[in-house]
Amino acid sequence: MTLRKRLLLALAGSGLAIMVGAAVAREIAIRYASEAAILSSIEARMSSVDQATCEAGRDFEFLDSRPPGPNGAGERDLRPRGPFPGERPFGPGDPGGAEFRRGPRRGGPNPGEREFGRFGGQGGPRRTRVFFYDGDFSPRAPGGPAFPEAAKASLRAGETFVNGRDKGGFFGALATSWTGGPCAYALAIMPTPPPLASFTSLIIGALLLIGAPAMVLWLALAQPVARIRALASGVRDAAAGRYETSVAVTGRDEIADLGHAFNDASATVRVHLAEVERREKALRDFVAHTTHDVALPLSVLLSHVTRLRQGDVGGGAAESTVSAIAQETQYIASLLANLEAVARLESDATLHERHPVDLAALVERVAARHRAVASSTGVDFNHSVPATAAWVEGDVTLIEQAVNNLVHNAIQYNHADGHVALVLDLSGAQFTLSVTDDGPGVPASDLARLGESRFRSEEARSRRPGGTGLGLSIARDVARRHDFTLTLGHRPEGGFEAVLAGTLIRDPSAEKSSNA
Amino acid sequence: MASKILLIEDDKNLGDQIVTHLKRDGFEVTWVQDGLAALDTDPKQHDLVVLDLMLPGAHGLDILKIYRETAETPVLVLSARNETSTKVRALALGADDYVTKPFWPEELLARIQARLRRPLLHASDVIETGALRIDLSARVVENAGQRVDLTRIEFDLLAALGQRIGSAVTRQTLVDRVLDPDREGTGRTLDVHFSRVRKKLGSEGARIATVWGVGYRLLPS
Repeated sequence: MTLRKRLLLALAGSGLAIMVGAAVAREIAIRYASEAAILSSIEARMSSVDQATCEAGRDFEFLDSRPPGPNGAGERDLRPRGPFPGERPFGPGDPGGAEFRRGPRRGGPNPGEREFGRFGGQGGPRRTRVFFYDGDFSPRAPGGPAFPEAAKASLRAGETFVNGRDKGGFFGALATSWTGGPCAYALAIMPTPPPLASFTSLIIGALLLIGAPAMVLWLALAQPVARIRALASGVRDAAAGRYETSVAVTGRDEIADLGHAFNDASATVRVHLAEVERREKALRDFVAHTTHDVALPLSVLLSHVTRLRQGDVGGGAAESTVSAIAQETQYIASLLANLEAVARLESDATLHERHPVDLAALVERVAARHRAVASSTGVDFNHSVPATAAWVEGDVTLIEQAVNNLVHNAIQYNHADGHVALVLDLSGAQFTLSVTDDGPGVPASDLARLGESRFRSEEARSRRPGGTGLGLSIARDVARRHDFTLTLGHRPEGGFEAVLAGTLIRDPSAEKSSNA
Repeated sequence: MASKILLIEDDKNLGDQIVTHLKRDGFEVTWVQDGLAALDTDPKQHDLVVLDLMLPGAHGLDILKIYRETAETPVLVLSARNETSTKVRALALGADDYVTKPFWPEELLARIQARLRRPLLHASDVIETGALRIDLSARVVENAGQRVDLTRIEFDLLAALGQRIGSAVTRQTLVDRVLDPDREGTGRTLDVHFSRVRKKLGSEGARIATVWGVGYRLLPS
């Protein structure tokens, strides 16, 4: 059963309880309306009291065959029934109203019964007793009920009729026109009808009103609550176990949907966790490798500097030591750039940053960078670019690093007095960027491995003779990502040649101005 | 007259080194060490600005943006962060070039000189270098005032080098530009033509240098 059906059912149960409650409330409302009617009926009765009756020394009572309806006087069927014939007057020794005679009753309760066993039903008559008082509110008959204090004040103030309710019941107090006699005031009293429902039954009613829907809801929700608890516990267990496990899902309702959704989310979390762990490991490896890789050339550098400082070398040897320092420094700089490039390439499967890149300016920058080292090592390094810009689309940092690496290898592994040329040529919409040298080249066994396109960091990172290594792997990876071709090989006339080729794009500035 | 360089670099050691190198190479250098001071400096009073990006007071790119509102002075950005986005942004904001740290002093110098030289590329039809005078429209070459008799191909080859003095021009470029592949053949004939030009130019002919792996270059006088 779905939660919705379950709640609908619970609502139906609650509704039933509310209906019962409403019925009770209706009864109570009717009763209060009756009270108002009673008070007005008392007022009506008082008008039938005449001086003669009073002065004859009688109190008297009325009996109503049935209670007034909630709608007031219109429904009343009340006729004065007293004084009753044969009823003897109150004697001086009479203890007031206590001896008040009861008249014959039709269908009423037996003597001694409570007057109003049931309000609103077809119950028995009600008794209204009328007492008379003199101007000082002393009862005409001894033992008569005390005149209500509240009524005294109002009557003295000049009102002719006051009604209300006090502990003796409902009353109506009338200032008769027979002042000075024993009948200056009349007081009609009808005892408070007993409560419609007993206190106990009210409590039971209230408990039913609140308890029944609560019970229904409790029972209806017991099963889903248990399942939600089980689900929560399962989620906690899964979280504790780094989302390796799924939670058990039963049923086909919304709770089951929640369970499935959590399992789906867990799967995503697992993937992300694995990715984060992979990156963390890559970062740790990167730091470890960087430390190792940079420590090595730095040690060589320190050694060279120490020899210079100690004066171990002099003359031409000093010059070559400085040259070695320059090379090591360049190597460290290049290594840092390469490690950064590797971090980029390893974290970014596709190339996200693509912008127009001017290859001519890029070649100029690379040439400026390597001229210093080339001159210190005695390598003749030249470059050439076309007179115009040569635009490609890509990541300028990565392309520049790739070209840097090709030039770096060509210079680094060349012999003194060797040559290196960096040439950018354009032909139609194609560019060719070649790095040629007349160095020793690459051993045939290594040359085959240079063709491997995938970057293998461990092996590639190690510094190997012949110009291979990390730099070349990066160059190959960068070329692949830019849809450039990188061709490596020996030149027929000797030396090594690396050729990067690809397609140009239109001059972005020209495009802008033509669009404008 | 010495070119005036405005250097904006907060690192004392690096700034000091750069100033020393630039002065030795004949530049007049004004060194500003923080971003706010840079904003108070008028770039128009200088021929070129060397701008570090990470500065106290104001970021280099913001300085660049403000400079560009009023001045066209070339700006060369020095960046310690080898990030593509930074470079692209710098160029988009009007930087002319950038150099990534660490750099060789020669590297910075080469970039500065290349940038200062650039307007000279829009030269007139007459190239005068050393004793040589190359009139491109009249197609006449004079050496020390004496007219040199060159063939059409020889003139075009010399003109191609003369238009980019100091830069190496590839054989491919020269072949494409000068030789008719149907008649004059390809690269091998270039050397023959250049050896004739060298001979005809006498002592100035030595300025035509063969560049290994590239082609030819006309050395500056």
